[in-house]
Amino acid sequence: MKKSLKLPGLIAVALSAALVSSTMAFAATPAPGKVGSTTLRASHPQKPTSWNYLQDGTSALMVPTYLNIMESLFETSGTGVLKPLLATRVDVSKDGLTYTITLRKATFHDGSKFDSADVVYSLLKNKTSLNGVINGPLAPVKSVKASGPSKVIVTLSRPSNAFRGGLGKPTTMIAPEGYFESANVGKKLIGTGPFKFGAFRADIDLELDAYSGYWGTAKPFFKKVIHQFRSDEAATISALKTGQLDIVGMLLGAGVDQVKGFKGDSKYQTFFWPSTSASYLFLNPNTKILQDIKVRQAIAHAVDRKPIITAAVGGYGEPSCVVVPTWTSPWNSTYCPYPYNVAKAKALLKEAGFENGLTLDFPYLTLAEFPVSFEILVAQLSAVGITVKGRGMDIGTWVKEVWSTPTPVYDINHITNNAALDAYGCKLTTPPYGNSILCDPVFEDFISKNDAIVDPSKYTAAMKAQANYIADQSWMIELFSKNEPGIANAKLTGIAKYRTDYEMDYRNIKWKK
Amino acid sequence: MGAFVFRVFYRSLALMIASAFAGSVVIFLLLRMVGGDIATIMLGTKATPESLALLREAFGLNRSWLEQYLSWIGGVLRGDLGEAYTGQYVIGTEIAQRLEPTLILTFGSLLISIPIALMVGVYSAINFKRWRGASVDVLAQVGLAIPQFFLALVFVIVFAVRLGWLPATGYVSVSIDPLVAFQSMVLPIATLSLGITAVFTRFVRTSMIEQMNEDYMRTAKAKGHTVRSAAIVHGLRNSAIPITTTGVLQIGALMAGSVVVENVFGIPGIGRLLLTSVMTREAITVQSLALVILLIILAMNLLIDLLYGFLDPRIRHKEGRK
Repeated sequence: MKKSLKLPGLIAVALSAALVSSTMAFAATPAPGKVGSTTLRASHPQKPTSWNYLQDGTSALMVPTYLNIMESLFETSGTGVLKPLLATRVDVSKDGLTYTITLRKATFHDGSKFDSADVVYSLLKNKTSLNGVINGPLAPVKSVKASGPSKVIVTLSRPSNAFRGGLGKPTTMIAPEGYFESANVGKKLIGTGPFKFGAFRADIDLELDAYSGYWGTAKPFFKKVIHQFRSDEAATISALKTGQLDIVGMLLGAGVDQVKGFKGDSKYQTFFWPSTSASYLFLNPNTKILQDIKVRQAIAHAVDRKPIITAAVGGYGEPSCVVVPTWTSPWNSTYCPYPYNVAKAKALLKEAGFENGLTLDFPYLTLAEFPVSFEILVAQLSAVGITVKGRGMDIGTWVKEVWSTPTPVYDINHITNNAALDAYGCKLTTPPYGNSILCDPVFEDFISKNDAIVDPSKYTAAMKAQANYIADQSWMIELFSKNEPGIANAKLTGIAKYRTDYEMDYRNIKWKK
Repeated sequence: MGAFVFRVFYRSLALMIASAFAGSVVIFLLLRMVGGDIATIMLGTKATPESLALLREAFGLNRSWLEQYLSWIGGVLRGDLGEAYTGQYVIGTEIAQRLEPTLILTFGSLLISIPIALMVGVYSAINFKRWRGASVDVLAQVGLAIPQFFLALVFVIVFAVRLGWLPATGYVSVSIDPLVAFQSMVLPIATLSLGITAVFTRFVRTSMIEQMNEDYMRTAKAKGHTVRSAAIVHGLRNSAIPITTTGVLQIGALMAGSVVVENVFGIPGIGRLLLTSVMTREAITVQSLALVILLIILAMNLLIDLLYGFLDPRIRHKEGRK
């Protein structure tokens, strides 16, 4: 009699049955999260490397914490006006050197009372920050003194528009006195905002718990916000579709292309808000051939911005020739001295002695919009006779080799950053780094004079002249201002427009009635 | 048996310690050669040479490589993996918390893959001259060729988005809700299993085809076994050592695969921590994680050395005589 084994077949059938039955059982499980829930599930593509904002310059730290947990003295409205936050008013002396700031009553998340001592402590600490967004505007601060528990007097060494603007930015974020010497530093933020710093799982999520002792009359609707850090945007979009997320903000990569798919879907709302970042080419002033302005002008003429915007940021951007965020600065304009013109670019190269073309070294970041924009730029520059040799770099290598060295070895580079015009001067740091390796005396003159102009209209005119001068010189060739796309459940309301590229404002979000 | 276990255990343990030490040096050096450090990442485009120097000093990155290595390995030997540079978490605690989903993912995939591969591989070997056997081989090739991230996205779109049967992402600990934990691991395990099942299947098939031509198989058939029962009862036993070796060696591949799968499915495992730590140059975390993964793989190798003795008496007797 033949010996035969049926066991493998039986195991296969049993396994299949188990898998199918368990999967069918899950079908009955409701999708997590419901409209009306008091927990908001949000996602952002970047994870913070640290919770110490005196050390960390990444926007990922600010995105969930600024305005939600940490409050500044004022906040900047969508139109650039200062709105009271921890300060109720500011009085500026006629010479623009003395700021008298009146504070409101508030309580920190650790139960301590907020007063002028905390402001003095925080501003002096912030001035020592390694983060340029925080310490930059505080550079002209000569002294910070308390005048009673609810008044602070800040004296400047010179009038400064950057300081005035900084009052409504993370520059004036207030922590309780002694915070940076406590065990909490780097682990937990303590502020006065409507949410407290809750459970944190490194590179997974941060929970923001509603703070019952918040000073504001309008308390947040959500008792808890789970702010998740998800770098895989395709997976993030899937999580949104299955109801595991309520809102996805500031998409950078693969998710950008998928946003269009949500338009017209009644279950979702999409938003395309301007960031405060400018995206531009930076030409290395140390490269000899680029010191000829005709070569720089030729490169500027060779760039066709629309295809770059379409392919690299899914169409969510506005072409521009001045290195100014399109929507947020009054000195933005449509000024464009070197529009797209291949014939002109070729002619300029010929005049500069490069009728047979030239070769440029182009290190580019291998994230977000940069790889795609690089490919298009290679083609566009090639069309006028410029051969580009690319070097893909991750952010760590790029910062080390391109950005934080005074003598970087490259010719051309694509950067997207928070474009404050005063950040490009070589006198700000010694030795120069980043864009500051560009040491143009005319530009330096603009920087030193403009910041001290007290009259707002004169200041705007001067800044516009400064921006136009940069465009004329073409060391920095602006490509576009980026829109930051996001997607949310259609039943959510109160989603605030981004005023900076470092905020996801959860304070006023709630379900529609 | 006792002498065998004793010999193999101590010899493998000595090798394991030497390998772990060598591995720790290699990992440490490789990380330093990648370029950039956590200070450059944290400061980003706001980095100045001065701020970078201050931050490096604060994190101890201005010390020589030797000093940094000795400081780290000294902590490891004391059982203290230290704290992330940024102070966000204690590395030992973080790794311990993240081992659960990664081990479930890795060993879950292994447990699914092995029986399927054994069944399909044996079936394919028995029928290797027929189209049925060849088609299994073709399917295995397809399984090998599909990238994990692609498969993961397809699974998510079909089973989570379209059918709504399973969650797209996330993980709940077994200690909190075993059913939801199981539910959240079905798609990740299925994703990770496919490639590994294909590898095993092809290996079992090749190994079994070799065994099918051996004399003892002919004898078994003469004694009344069918081809299938002879293959399973006798052939499989003789293929056990190479199959087990391959199985254990695949743990490294599974751990590597977990980096992709954990990232796509939002699972807070050590693979995801490893990826983000490499991206942010959190070197001390990467070193510690790589060492833990290395130790897991070495421990598996130790286990397999011991298993050889049980699977093949010839090895046991040979070791016993030494």
